[in-house]
Amino acid sequence: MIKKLDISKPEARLIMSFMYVAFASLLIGGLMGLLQTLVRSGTFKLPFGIGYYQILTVHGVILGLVLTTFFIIGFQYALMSKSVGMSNGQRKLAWVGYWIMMIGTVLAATMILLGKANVLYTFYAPLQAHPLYYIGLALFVVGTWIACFVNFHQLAKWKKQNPGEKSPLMAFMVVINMLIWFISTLGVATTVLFQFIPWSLGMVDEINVLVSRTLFWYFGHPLVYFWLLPAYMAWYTIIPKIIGGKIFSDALARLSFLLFLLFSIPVGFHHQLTEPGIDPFWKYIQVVLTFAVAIPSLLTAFSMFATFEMAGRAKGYSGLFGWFKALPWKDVRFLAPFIGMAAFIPGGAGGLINASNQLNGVIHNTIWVTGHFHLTVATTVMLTFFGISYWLIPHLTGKKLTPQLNRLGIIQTIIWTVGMTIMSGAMHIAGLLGAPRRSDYSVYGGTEQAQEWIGYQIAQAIGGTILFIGILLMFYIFIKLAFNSSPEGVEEFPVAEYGDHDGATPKVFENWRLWIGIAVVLILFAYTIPLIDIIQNSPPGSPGFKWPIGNS
Amino acid sequence: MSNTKPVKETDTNLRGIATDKESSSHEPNLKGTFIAVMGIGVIIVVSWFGVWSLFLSR
Amino acid sequence: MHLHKYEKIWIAFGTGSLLVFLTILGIGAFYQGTQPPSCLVTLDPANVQAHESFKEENLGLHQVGENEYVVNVLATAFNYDLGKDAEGNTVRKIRIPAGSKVTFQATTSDVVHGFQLAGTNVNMMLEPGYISDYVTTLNTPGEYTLLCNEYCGLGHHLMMAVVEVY
Repeated sequence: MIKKLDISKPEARLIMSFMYVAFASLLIGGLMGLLQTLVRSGTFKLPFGIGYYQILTVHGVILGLVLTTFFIIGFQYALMSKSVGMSNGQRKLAWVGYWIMMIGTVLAATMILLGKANVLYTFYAPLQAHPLYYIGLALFVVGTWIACFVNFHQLAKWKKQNPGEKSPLMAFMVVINMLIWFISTLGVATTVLFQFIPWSLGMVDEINVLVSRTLFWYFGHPLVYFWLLPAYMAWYTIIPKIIGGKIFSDALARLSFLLFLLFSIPVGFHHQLTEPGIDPFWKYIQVVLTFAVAIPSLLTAFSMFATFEMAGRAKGYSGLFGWFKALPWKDVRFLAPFIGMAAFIPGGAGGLINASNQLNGVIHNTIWVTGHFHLTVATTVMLTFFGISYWLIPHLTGKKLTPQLNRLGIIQTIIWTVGMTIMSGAMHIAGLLGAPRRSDYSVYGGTEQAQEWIGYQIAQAIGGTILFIGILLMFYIFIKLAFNSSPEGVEEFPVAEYGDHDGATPKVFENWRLWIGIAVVLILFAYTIPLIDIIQNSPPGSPGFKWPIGNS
Repeated sequence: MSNTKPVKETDTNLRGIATDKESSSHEPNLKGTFIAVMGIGVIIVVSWFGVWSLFLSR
Repeated sequence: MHLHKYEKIWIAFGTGSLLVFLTILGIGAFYQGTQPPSCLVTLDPANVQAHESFKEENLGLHQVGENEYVVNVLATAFNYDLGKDAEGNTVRKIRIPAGSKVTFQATTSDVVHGFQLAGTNVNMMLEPGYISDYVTTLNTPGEYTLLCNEYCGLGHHLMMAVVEVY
């Protein structure tokens, strides 16, 4: 049996504070997304002098960084409270982290709204935004580090109180994800603190562009795993309970997370494959490492199907796929994450294509890439997060998921699936035809190719509109779950039991020094020589360019 | 609520069955799982070679 | 730790496929020379004209062999400089015979730009201080859009030129 703790009222308040920010971000960021697809259809112009690249920056920052990070940290606190508990001191520190993240977010958001930071969320130098934008981002990251240390301390304290015991799977997974986050954000923090801030303040005249990009992408790919792993946490530790089954294998679940710790970081070059200043040998090395990070996802696919099949067979369903009927299709807590899992099949296949060295040239910076991460983060991850919200929000607010809200949730899931299939599908095809991402509406001088893309852009606007309806519905459901009165009782926090024996999990899985050590060795292997090479062969640095983004 | 979450009612019962299964040394029947994951594998291989041939043709 | 028989087969198949992909990519990259663009040559972004290829008179299309061409391009926000024609007009469109081997060489004198010839494998990042190059054979006649696919500022989507293969 897994020990389950109760989430106290003050803990629930903390977690809900993260959720409010997450869902407010969903609404704002979603609106920006809708506007972008409308502009790109060629039928709509932004009013009041708002710029396309301004809303694109808002969309990326508020959905890619704010929504995801706030939801993830809140959800991870819930998993930690449930599995290892949270002390008063830890909770207070968590609040400090929350407010630092909020201050950072507000600073960066203000600069974007003032038009001083039309640099998108990747803020590539030498485009130069207002220093407060970079300072805001830095504060945001510092706030998340506090959450890292609270989570690490939570598990360490539990280990001390339960010597020799295997740490709960939920806590184990949270700590891995926060290790990935901490190790990878060191890269983006380095470039922001030591390159962007002094340079934007005028303390130095020039910036080393390739070093800044390399440090950014050292963070940029683990970032996507930081988004994905909380979805995997829900798939491994919660979904089995919802479908009336068990965790297929605790040991395999831990193994896949350890593999993510090892292989999700030394892979940033696969975002820089078409860049001129990186040795092709080291690009290929990181391509190989990127392919290794696919393996834990292959393991996860097997574990998920096995969980479903065993639960179905235990219920008496037989035949090759009879167990499929046993799944609770009418329970949105299952349906939304399930569609998320299904979306990861084309999402993962596309990811392997993106990382395929010279094949990257077919799709690099085309709208295929946008289609790709709208399948992975905006479908796989988001639908799982919605699936979590249906039980987590009422559990925290002392309410129940009513049958009406469950039904609305199912409608929401279907709307999302339809909208995303249209939008992401159109993006993938247009991308293969060469249509670029991150671009305002353009006919490119009326070339035949550009005319061909417009049709797909109209399809994207249709998909985008459907998705925005989905966002409005989700926001409504969130408000209902958080504030409306509901029948007596509190929604259950589903915690799945291990399907394998306790002794089945190797002790070495808990040897943190070993795994962190290997992760560091792999990072040093993948980055040391090429980074020295980049620095030694650097061209003269670049001054800041403010006028191209209208920041002058 | 019971018709939206049919799972809950049989929950305890299921747990019993599952435990019995594990204690035996036989491997669970996962034929459906195997076919499903191999299907994923085929999707990955086909899409990869699709873009690979596009790369070669350009 | 116990692995189910089917899981072993699945992981073997999955890892095997990944190795096949990597082998194909490796052979293509290291033996057949289809590396992603990695020119590794640097120059001073404030003085790109100091480099032979980016002198004003050397920009644009040049025939260098019977069936071989070089295209030198200087990117700035928000324009691709393809030189001037015989009458002194700015070149917006270049024409290359089908089946020619073409070397694209480009750099930027300000911010980061993209360099994508839509519908071909020519797709590279231009970064200040570096030359990017890509050698390809353009076989299929048609009109190809050369466009910037990396955000470079408010006029990013207006940055384009045309390459016609005839």
